[in-house]
Amino acid sequence: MPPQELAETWKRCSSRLLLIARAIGEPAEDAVQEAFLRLARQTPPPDDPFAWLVTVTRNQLLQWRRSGIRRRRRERDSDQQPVWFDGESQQMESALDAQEVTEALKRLDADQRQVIVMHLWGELSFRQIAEVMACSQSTAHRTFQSGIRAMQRKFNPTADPVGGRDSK
Amino acid sequence: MNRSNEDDRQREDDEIDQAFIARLRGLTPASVSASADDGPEHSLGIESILYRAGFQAGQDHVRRVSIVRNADTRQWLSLLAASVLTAVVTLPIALGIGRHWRSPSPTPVAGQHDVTPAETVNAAPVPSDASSEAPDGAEATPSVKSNKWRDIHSDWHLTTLAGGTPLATLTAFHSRSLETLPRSNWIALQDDLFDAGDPISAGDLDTLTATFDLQVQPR
Repeated sequence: MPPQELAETWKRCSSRLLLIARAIGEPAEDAVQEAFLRLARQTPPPDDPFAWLVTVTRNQLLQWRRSGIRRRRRERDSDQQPVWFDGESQQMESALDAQEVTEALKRLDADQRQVIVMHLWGELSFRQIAEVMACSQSTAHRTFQSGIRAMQRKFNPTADPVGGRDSK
Repeated sequence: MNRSNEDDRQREDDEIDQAFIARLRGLTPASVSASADDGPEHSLGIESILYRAGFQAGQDHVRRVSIVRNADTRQWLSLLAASVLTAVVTLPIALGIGRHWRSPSPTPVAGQHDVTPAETVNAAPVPSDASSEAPDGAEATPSVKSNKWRDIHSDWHLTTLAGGTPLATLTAFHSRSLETLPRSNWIALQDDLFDAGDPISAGDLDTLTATFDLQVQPR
């Protein structure tokens, strides 16, 4: 991929990709960087660069987790509490607290957390999420629903629109 | 893709509180620059990405060139190894064949006439000319083909080397004596000195005189 196009892709996708990477696990920055380096070498460039980047980032993080590589780096990063969301959104009256949302996401099941982040902030469709996570589209959708219900109970305990069907 | 997204959203609308989802969507993912404040080793930016991408592209180029060069070197080394192996295998065979077919280098018998070794080699295989130029007294001698003569000489030489008697060998295997052979075709190795130990018997002088067309002056 030409440098100019790579820079534009970086500007358009890097923040969303980094958030998805944090939802998958640490070291998220290394995985994002590695994904963009692979995108630079990719010939021809993928049709959907962002979906391609998400797939590469997730596979890289899972591979590092399996092989134990960069465990020390991951443990060190876990002490630094990386920021998932911008603080400016807290100024909006209707917005949720970014830190509380981050903590709620961290407490979710890993698949629920990844699907929610990919769909809400990564703007990936359930079909794309299903391809990335190697599952069916309906499974991705059910995982999203159950995760949202769990978070909703956290932020609004009185609201239980579907009668507690969020258990996995 | 848009159609798929609309279907997804429609399914969400059926079951999930859209207001809560909207509030979640109101959060903005942290920018990369904000999360890269951990230190220089954590710096994550497009500059470092482009720098590393360029560095890796250079590395790939060098590696590719090196692979091509190594392939050429391997090809030449394999050719060289094949040549050496062929030489090692064929050289002993070629030496054996050469030893088997090598014939002893002939030299003229001392006292015949002064000729060069090249002339001797050229003259030896032409016995017909020699027989035509031979004197009348020598016409009664059996004609010996040059190849046969060479074989006889070879046998004689081998027998001599083995310790046998040349004259006895000739007599036994060819039913001829030295006197019956045309002396103009005699050849011997340089280190084979003519054995002049046999006394000349009666009649040899006449034969020698006729053979070499000599004039004997009586005293």
